[in-house]
Amino acid sequence: MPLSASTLSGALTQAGQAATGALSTAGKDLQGAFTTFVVPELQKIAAQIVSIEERTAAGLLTEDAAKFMLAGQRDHTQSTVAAVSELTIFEVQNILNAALGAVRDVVNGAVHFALIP
Amino acid sequence: MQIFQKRASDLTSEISTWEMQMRSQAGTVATDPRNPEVQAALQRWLGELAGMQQLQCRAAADSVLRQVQDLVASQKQKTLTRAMAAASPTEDQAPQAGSAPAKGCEAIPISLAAKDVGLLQKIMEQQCRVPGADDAFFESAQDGKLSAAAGTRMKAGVKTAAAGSPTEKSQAMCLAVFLPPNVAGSNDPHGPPVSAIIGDLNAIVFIEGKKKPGPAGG
Repeated sequence: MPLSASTLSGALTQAGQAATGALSTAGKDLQGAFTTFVVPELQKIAAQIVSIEERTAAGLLTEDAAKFMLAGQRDHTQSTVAAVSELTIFEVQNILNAALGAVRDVVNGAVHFALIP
Repeated sequence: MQIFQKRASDLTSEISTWEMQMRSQAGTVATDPRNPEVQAALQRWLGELAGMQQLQCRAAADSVLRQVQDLVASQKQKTLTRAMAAASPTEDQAPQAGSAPAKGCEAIPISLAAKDVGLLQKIMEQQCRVPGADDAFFESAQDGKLSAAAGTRMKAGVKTAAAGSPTEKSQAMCLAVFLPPNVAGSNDPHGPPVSAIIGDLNAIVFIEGKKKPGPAGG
């Protein structure tokens, strides 16, 4: 079944929010930064994944190229969010890992390869 | 405008323009990763990023030196020892050619941008090689005349074995690198690999914009 950007975005946001909550217990309130800076990036990642699925299904994207594209998107998200918010790059990595981990099976099943390792 | 902001902004403009050129020629020898002009562009960006990284590391080192001088002046020897221990890169952190910078250089967006240029190169290797084009064809390119000459032949419908034969599919595959996601809600004007690089460069501009000007001479 084709992926939906809005459904994917919702799942990424939910898992990312939970991860942010866990990080926040260290005495730092990160929810504001998550909502303002991370959620828009997760929406971009969702759009990116849907685009990858469409292009690989059409035979226009190799598996390796698709993986490289998602890796680039992750780098971009890490540097952007860490630059503009109080989140550190390592906190952003944790949130992204949790968010992508939550949709791994659905995404990998849709594209028929391990796009998210 | 600070030097990093200007260099990052200039690089953003150059890469955006380059992406438009790639889109208009996607799938031809002009976008083949073996094309010396493509390779030169990617190497130029990597060189520019490496230069920015070096400058940033030097600025970080100068900042540490100033702190040390201040501490010496105020005779805070214990604090000095702690500051030096905290500021000095360990062997593992010491900058090496082609590696990520030391953590103290605060150059993470720069190193991520360099990594993303590498990813762009890998993606083009996967997506933009012209079917049937010989390596020798690209090796024979001189003085940047390759694209024009090969483009003319292709427009004229003349296909040579050496220059390869782009197909509709190979052109569409290469175009997929440079077109933004065609998904509702996405307003990114760039293809994914270029978007990642430009995102990193924007982060550099933002970080530099937040910094206060250093003391005189710094």
